[in-house]
Amino acid sequence: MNLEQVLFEKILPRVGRAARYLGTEWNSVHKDWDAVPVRMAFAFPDLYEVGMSHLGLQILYSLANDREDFLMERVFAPAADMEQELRGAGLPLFSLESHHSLKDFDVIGFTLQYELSFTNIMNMLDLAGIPLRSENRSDNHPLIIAGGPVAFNPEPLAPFIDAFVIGEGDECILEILEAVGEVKGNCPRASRSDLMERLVEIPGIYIPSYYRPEYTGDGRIKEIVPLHPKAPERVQRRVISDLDAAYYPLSPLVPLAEAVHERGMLEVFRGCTRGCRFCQAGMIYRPVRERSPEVLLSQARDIIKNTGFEEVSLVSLSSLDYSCLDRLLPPLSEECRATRTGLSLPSLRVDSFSVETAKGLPGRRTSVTFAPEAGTQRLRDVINKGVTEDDLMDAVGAALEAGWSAIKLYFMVGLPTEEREDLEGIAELVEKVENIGKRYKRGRKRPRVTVSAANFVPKAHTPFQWEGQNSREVLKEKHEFLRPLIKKSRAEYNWHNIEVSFLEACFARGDRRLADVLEGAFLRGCRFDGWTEYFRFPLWMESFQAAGLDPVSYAEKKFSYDEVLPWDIIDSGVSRDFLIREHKQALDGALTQDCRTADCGNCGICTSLGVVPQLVKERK
Amino acid sequence: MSRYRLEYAINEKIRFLSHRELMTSLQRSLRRASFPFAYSHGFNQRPKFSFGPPLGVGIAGLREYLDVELVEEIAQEEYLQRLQQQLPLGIEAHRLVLVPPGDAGLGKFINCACYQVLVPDSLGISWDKLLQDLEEGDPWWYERPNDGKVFNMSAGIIKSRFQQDEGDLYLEFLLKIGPGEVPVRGLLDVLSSKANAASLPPFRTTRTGLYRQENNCFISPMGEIEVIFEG
Repeated sequence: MNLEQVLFEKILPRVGRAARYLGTEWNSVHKDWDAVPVRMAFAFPDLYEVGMSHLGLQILYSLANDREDFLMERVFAPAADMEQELRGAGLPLFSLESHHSLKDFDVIGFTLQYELSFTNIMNMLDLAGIPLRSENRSDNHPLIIAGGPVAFNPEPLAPFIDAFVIGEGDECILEILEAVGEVKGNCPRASRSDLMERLVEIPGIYIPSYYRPEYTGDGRIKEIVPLHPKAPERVQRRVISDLDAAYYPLSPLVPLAEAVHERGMLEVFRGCTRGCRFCQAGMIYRPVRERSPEVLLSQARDIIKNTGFEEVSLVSLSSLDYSCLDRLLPPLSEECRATRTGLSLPSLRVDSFSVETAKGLPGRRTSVTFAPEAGTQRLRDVINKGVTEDDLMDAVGAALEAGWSAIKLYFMVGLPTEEREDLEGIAELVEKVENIGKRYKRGRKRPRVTVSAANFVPKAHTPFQWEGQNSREVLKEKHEFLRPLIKKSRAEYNWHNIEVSFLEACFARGDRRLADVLEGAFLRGCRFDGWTEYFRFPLWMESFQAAGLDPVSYAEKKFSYDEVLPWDIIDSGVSRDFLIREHKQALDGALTQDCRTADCGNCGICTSLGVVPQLVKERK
Repeated sequence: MSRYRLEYAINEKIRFLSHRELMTSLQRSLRRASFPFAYSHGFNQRPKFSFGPPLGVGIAGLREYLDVELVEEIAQEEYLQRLQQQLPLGIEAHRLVLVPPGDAGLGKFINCACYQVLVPDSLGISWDKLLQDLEEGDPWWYERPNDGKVFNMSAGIIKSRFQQDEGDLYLEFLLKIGPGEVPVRGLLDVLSSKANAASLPPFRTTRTGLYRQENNCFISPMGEIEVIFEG
């Protein structure tokens, strides 16, 4: 029996949600394996239902498969029961479309969306029979690449990944596959060293083995030394300059097993220049580049027709900031009504305009989410949130008036400069929201208010990259202080697991030495660390101890402005001077305006990357 | 409003879909094929579908059924062809017919299902004897793991038999649907344990038909009288 037969006869009958592993989704691409010279597996280091909701997968999958000479198949992290079955039967991890062993591919590309998926990467490599560390791989192994937002601090993964793709993958994936094809030629495999030599010539590619970090006696980074003549001093991120001209998948995959989000995605724009100082996405995806309403409308028609999805969603970092909503929404709503398709916005901006806009969209209205992030105006100014209490109350009132019956509020705990008053401010805001809710009772039922409090995690390439995270004890005290205050107002209070946030902070700003910890945690059995039910903190602490590293010094570390940062090798396009200026502005509680509506903030992106903001409707 | 009945098959490649996943897949296929759905009224409007009894995960189905209500009459052959082009690999649409007014609907109509279970030939088990014991001996009990509900498997079986066909050995069961229904997964588990076959791969199972049994007559949801369990 071949792998596929064993899978269907012996393994799938025994695992839960077997539909995850079938690979026959509508719009999936099944090519003749032997007829395609370059084969890549797109690896998502989380479960199928999470990965299938990811826009990047849809874009890259279609883009690569549109080329006759390339083949791209998918693989997701196997659930625990599947891992057990594979290991028990001595079978390798396989791709979904052809059920080939991952080892058979020329390239395996991981997308890095979240630091706590790292052990799943280790597990997937191990299940594929591929050595975890690059240095132990030979020409018989696939090239292992990785990209996505977490690649902006690639260092903790550096020893495991052959090459990182920095920036927008749809800008350079074809160049990478072409390079693989060139080097491979008519051989069964490309020579690894030749391939690296070729890849380093592609802008946006970071080859970690071409650099060596050196440390000072007190454990800080002294310098990052290039070891190869072609290795650039800094690797500049790739960026698509014109979204209208960019490739977009009009026949995206339709999940077979139920996914987290099952909807057609319309990417209205990339980038966000609101400038929230904690937000990595707001820095690393600059500048704002909008798609024109005509293109979006045409894409929506095709996606609805080609998928049968019951809903389409306008996705971006803040879709209500799209400058041309007045030209897009009326015809799009009409199209959706005609095809009985819902139209949704993933989250609303905190203002009544956004509610007014959202209420006109076809589809169900259940809960609405607002993210004021902090409880007082002072702290909201520190993080440059640009939202007032009046904005929030107006938005909540408008949402309840429009028929929404549940309000979700997102806050962050542990932000730089946070004081007791800021936490009390969260409770006061929630109470005011509850009081508005009382006016909109349906019978005896009040609108439900849920408060979700995340722990602040300082991220690389943001103005808060120099800040440390609150200690676990302090975070715990803060949640314990806040919880009864929120409960008093009858709202539901959820907070993120402190240990998970702690590890996220370690790896978000960690250096290459953490690779030993990662490998140790994997070998001790850690998987799906972002999932509370699988998270095993003691194993992580054991791994830190075994590696001789102190996790607290990573999570709580404050960097000085003149210090070499582990991720300095990566150039996001936003200048260090801008980030320092923004950090200082934050400590002064001073706001920085959005360059879409005010003067240029000199973040440096346009000059360094040679791109300009593209707004369909100039709004200045 | 017009109600249409679709007969379709779930083959080996896609038999691992849950009922819910299958419903979603079929609904999207029908949407892609531009079937003019009739929708329910109210806050959460949905197309009016009615599916036959759920097929267990891992079980293939040769003749499965769904009813869909449309706002207008359609050209059946044309729409069947359109649908065939929009189905995921592993689902095959066979027939589409207009349901006559007054039809009770699939839920009320179907009261039994025929299953075929492929069994390994290496066990040296007297399957005839095992089936006789199942039908005539002491009840075979099964406790469903997820909710602890206990079933008398023997009571859910209308008929059973052992067959050999071109080297394949298989068991056939006619099982009740509705009152007295027993889980097919349970039947397979009990069979495995009685056959001491716990270490063997799971039996490959196919639901070969759904019927209404009236006296000794079996009527398919397409209105055809069929002869089953003979020959």
